[in-house]
Amino acid sequence: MKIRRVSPDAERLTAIVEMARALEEKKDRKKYSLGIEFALAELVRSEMRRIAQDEPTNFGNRDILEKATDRALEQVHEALHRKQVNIDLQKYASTVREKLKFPAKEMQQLSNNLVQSRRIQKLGAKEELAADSGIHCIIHELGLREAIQGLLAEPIGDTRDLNIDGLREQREWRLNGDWFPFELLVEQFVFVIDDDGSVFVSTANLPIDLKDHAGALLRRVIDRLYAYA
Amino acid sequence: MISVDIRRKVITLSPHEQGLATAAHTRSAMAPEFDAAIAPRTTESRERLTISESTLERMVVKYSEQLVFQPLEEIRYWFTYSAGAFLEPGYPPLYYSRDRNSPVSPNKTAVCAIGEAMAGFIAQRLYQCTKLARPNHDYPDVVMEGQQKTYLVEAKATLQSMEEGIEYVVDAELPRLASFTSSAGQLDVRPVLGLLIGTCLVSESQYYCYMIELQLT
Repeated sequence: MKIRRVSPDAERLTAIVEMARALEEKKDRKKYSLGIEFALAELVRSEMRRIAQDEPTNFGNRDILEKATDRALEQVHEALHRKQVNIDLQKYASTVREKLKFPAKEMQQLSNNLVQSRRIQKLGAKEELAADSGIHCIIHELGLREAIQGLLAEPIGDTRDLNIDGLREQREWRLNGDWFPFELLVEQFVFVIDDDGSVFVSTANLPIDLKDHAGALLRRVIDRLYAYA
Repeated sequence: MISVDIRRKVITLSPHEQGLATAAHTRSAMAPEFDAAIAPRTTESRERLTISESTLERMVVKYSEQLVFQPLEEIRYWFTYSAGAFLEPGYPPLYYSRDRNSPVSPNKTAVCAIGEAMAGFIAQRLYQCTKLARPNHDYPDVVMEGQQKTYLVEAKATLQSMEEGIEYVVDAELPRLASFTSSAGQLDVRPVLGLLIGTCLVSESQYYCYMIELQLT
């Protein structure tokens, strides 16, 4: 079974375009899609996280919420333009700005703390690696450096084909579930494969050699899972 | 591994029953009429799933609104306490010093987090949904999508050994979600469904879920 998945943000963009197209077809300007509102809010929140992680000192005089909203709207406008859909997003944008005012302040504060934590190497590391197929992913160590709670593999890029059957074929592994989240049992570890293509394994309270072993197994799992280049 | 027994109801609401739902949500006197109207429009089935603790941990991260650390350990500690183990050596001697006649309760944040995680898990597994949004301080708990439909998911959870407890909580919430699903369905252009998913943490390895799927006609 080859399952094509897209990143959560790409999925939200697609959903917004679909809902916007349906709205346009109705030709009823009074119609309001709660789905568009919720998806746009999540897109802006995701963009705020990205800015807070990657550009913490680069806010300038502009609020993180304004910057993220502008970028998310730009992505939505581009996606709508590509599909030749035209709807007014302003009423959704103002609701989203209001909703996310306080989370934005919190993220701005945390972003400053993150810079400091990274400087003193307080947090777990990130490592980019390539699966056998050439697909690149990032392995995140979750939590504080001295107490890594788990490892999370996240493929880079918007579209990923997941080789679920390849996991079933491995004789000493056992795959539970008929849809996401799948559970892959390898030795004493459970690898959780979710619908965004990510793979998680818990390492809470494990001694360092077992944690390293979980990391080595995770690499084998992603070689199989991301087998389609 | 945690075993999950699911009692699943599907209710199809006509515009008349949607109106009754809104009335029952605002006036409890209308609740019996709403209940009587939906009874013939309800079908029921049973499902059984399992979920590992690692998956539940991931689902808590994905779907819980509150920041909660190790809710499974928290609940396991509660089950240890309620099993009477805290009277044995190795546990704090002052833990059971209540100062008034109120019931001792588990960590509600942990229970809610597990309830939200289970709701997301069931929506993914049974409906092949993906998460569209996890609103902050808003209703419902999660908005999901699948097969060109929008799913409004509301989660409830209790920690009682009696299944009737969670069924009562879910049934009481039904008019509210039915009313909201109806409004969202009228405003929206895509089909909107409501999923009300209640989880009862019977023990550390056994959960009971009572869920209602709301379809609009």
